Amino acid sequence: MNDIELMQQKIAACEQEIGKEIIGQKDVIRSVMLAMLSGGNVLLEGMPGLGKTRLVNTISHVLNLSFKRIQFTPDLMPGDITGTNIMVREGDNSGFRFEAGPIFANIILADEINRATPKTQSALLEAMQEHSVTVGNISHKVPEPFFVLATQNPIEQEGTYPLPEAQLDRFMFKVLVGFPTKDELKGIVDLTENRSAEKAQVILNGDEVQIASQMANGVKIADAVMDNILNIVMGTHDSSNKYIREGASPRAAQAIVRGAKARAFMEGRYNVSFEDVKAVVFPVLRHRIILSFDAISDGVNEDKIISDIVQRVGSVKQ
Amino acid sequence: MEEKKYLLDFINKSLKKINTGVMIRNILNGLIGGLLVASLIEGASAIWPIYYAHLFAGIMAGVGLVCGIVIGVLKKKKKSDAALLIDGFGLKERVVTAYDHLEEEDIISNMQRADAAARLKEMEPSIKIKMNIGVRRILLFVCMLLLAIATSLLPAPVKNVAAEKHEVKKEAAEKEKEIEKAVEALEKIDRTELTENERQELSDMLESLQSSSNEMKNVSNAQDLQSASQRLDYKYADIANGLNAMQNEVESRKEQEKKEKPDNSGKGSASENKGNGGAADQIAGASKQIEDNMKNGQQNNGGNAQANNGGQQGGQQQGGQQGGQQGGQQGGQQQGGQQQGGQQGGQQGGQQGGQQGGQQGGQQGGQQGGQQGGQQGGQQGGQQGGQGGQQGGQQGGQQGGQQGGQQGGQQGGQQGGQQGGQQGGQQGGQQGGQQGGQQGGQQGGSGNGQGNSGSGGGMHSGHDYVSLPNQTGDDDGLFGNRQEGGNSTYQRDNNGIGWEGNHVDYDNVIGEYSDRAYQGIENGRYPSGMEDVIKDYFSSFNN
Repeated sequence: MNDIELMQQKIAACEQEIGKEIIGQKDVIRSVMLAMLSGGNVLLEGMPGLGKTRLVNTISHVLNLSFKRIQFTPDLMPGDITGTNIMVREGDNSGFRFEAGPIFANIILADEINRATPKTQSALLEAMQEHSVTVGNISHKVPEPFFVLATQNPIEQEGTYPLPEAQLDRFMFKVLVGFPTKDELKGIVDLTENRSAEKAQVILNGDEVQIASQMANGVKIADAVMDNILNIVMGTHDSSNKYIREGASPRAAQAIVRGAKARAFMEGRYNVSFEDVKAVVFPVLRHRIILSFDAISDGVNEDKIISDIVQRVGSVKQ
Repeated sequence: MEEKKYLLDFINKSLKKINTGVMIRNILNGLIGGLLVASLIEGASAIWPIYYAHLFAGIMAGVGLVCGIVIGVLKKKKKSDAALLIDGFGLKERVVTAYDHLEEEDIISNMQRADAAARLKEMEPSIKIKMNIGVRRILLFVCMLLLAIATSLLPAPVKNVAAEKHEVKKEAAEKEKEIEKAVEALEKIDRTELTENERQELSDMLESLQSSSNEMKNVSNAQDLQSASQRLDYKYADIANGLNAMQNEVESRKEQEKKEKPDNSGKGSASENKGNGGAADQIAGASKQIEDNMKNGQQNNGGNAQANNGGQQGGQQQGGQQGGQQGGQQGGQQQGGQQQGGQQGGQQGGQQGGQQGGQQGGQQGGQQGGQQGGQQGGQQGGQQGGQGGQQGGQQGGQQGGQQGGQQGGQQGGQQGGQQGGQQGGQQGGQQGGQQGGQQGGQQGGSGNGQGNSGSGGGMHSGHDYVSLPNQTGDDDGLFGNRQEGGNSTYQRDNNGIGWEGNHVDYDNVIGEYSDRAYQGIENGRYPSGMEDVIKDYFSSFNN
């Protein structure tokens, strides 16, 4: 067994370990793992109490990564996230010292990100894209691997600040966290009441996550599959589609490729299949498509539009 | 390396099968389309006359086949397509990815290739590449083929009409070409050597031929063609006579000039001689061209008559022979009447009589009838032409039918000329003219009627030769004597073997002939210059 196969097994083991503490939500776990292998950030959208924080906490435990949680509120300031320069006096010497904010961790949970003001939201932009934070004139690198997992509540829109498109585009995936089934709910209840439940074990560390990410990035993709991805992204710019006001950016195509590669890697393959593309295209595109008034009035959501595009483009044409 | 070879071999093997299927599918599609169009064409040919329906249908089927092959070649699959198709059997794009990265040697590429080859070997028994021709497509093709065959074999009278129309058009086109040649030959004649009257005559000839050419363009059925051909033949005869006369005139002028200026052998005289000789030669050439056209026309008519009446033998042949003989006699008799007009009239009459007799005989009776009719027509035309001169008889005989008719005509013309010369000498011309005039006038009418009845299944037109009106005689010259009221008494009798006819009043007969004559004038059916003669003749009945 070589290193790649070993790493593939470890990643699969990570999923199993996370599943010990998170009941159900298999797709959510898979999506978050894919984003981490791809080096992307995730926007989790769901009702409160669905285990989003627990999920992120468990992942960070299994991957042995540092984890910080930031509760976004309207009065949260950028400095509260990035950190700030503080005056220090040590003996005769006095000066400013950078006090790192909570963003300096491997995994950041930006809870209810849409409750903070745009100014504070944008404090995350540089860290998410450049993996660095600039305070004053000095840029500080955040620790690698670095992931931002943000959550937002889909129904409580009062007093919120919806994320601007530029910031949304920086999230690789937008994952919908659905309500658990009855059996899953029973499992969740049992899990919290039964203290003797099995605890998740640490499988990887930060370095291994980065190596795994590099390996996943080396997965091969055929021209036909690449064409399929490009056709899907171009399909979001179809002017004849009355439900789309703005289509996905080129960053979406990159995200689909990286996500599909990561999925193939997690599946134990060395090549991307159409199935991989289809699996990642929904979380990649759903927050990158801006719906038109027709779509809203007709009750058509993003997933329906993406499904139509995927169906129209097809995968194999004989 | 083994994995690469294995993958490539498998892809190539699959590709062959896939491309064979693509080619067969497209060929079948093309043939289905082509056969559908072919069926429509064949079906249309059962409603509208389309002579080339089979050809068009075949071309359409061929075009469909070619289109199918071309599309099949254009739609030929590539190896990556074949690999993708193989992946469709659950290989999750392993084969196509391995094929796309076949030349890469990094660790992941090698592992991917090995993985693809391993999975392919594992799944090979379950991978069945099909040609996907489709039973429905094959059934549709068979249906279209049967439909095309059925529509092509569908019996329809309109198909015969189409064939007939085609033949008519073809023959009309040939005639047009002949006319063009004749027109070219006429146009080549140097007009500077001709008199004003001769130029006018030449222009009339050209105009006449041009009208015939237009008429040939507009023919739409066999009857039109026959009528037009007959009119054309008369025009040829008329023009040939005119050209002969013109040639003689030019030559005689030349001789006269030589006599008048015997010592003038200078340059100018030589050029004049050359000029006169050239014009005469050109006229002779034009005349020969027209005579050739006439011969061709007669052969065609004979051939057509044979083709048309080929299935009707026995009694019809006899009828044709009788028609030919009577037609020949008729032509000769009428010829005799015309020859009294002088030497030229004798020549023309001889030619026309012999030719018409030969033509009518040939048309009515096929080759045999034509030969006999031509021989007799030629003999009689030649004999009576001999009263006007041996040359007229020979010419009349020569133009009197096909080869048999020609030979017979020549012999008859010579004999007739000799006999005419021996019997009549100087008197022969007068007596022959008188007898020919009277009998020609009398028997011309009876010969006409007999010719019609004798023609039976043959083709005959009895109104296209013109008698000189001052030689038609009185009412006594008619076969039936005119009664006081103009009508003769008649009674019915059932003992005869003939068909029952219709009784027509004398005035109606005259009126009908008058109408036809005037219509013929309007249609240009008679030789130019004869229109007034015909009008005068028929108007004399009204007096």
